[in-house]
Amino acid sequence: MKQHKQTNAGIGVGYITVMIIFAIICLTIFAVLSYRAAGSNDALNERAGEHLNKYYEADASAKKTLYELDEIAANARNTPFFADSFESEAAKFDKVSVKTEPDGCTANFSEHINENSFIFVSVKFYENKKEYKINSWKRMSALNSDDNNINVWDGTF
Amino acid sequence: MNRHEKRPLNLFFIEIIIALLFFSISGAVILSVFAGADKKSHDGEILESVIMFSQSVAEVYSLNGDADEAVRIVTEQCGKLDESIVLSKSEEIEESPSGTFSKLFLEFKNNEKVIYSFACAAYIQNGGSR
Repeated sequence: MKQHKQTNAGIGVGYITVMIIFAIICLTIFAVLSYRAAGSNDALNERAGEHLNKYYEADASAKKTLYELDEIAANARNTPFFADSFESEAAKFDKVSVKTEPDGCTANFSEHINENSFIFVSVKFYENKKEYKINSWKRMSALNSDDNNINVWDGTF
Repeated sequence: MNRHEKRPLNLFFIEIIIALLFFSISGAVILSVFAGADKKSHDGEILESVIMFSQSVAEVYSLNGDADEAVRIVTEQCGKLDESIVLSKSEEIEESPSGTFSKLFLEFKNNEKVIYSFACAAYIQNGGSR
């Protein structure tokens, strides 16, 4: 009887079960959390990839428009009235607006990336030079934000 | 009297056997979940590196309009992609007297499965690097 008591000292019936259930609960929680973390990271990467694709799609479209406008400008330089010729040819593109300047023409156009943003391009084509100058090639937000017009204190009394 | 003394010991062993059985089954399920998470995480890392690589190639390509040169420069500067990834590229080129417009298509495959496809473009005026 004495020997039997010594064998079971410290470990009662049910203690192992409780410990194993606790261990399994902990492991399950960690496994689910790590799976969810990996899943959300993967989803984030996929969204980043999609956004990158859309951005460079719009960028490629803008470069194609630039290529066509440059061709128009090259042809317009062979005519006596550069500005008129360039403007009339560029008017075939719905998205392009042309502003005539003393030494050439500035074409402005935009390409949509998604519903919230677009690429705005402003390029100047010179009458007497073969080159063009990119004044602006930037991504802009399509959302009308009131943040631009907040009346904040300018530091003067 | 002797039978009564042995009962708790037998019960203890039966409990251990049942608990180990339950633990091994649960452990197998949990380990498979961990393995799935590890695979997903690894796939995510590969996709992230591919996206960064594509963006770098697009930026270099828009400057020189040369696909091979762009991939070479990015590989030199940023390091090679994972060895399991196969990159295939194709180009569409339009030329005019004023310049060259080219579009580059990149496709990244991992174990014969397309993980990312990407397109970018370049316009190089005549007298540029192309």
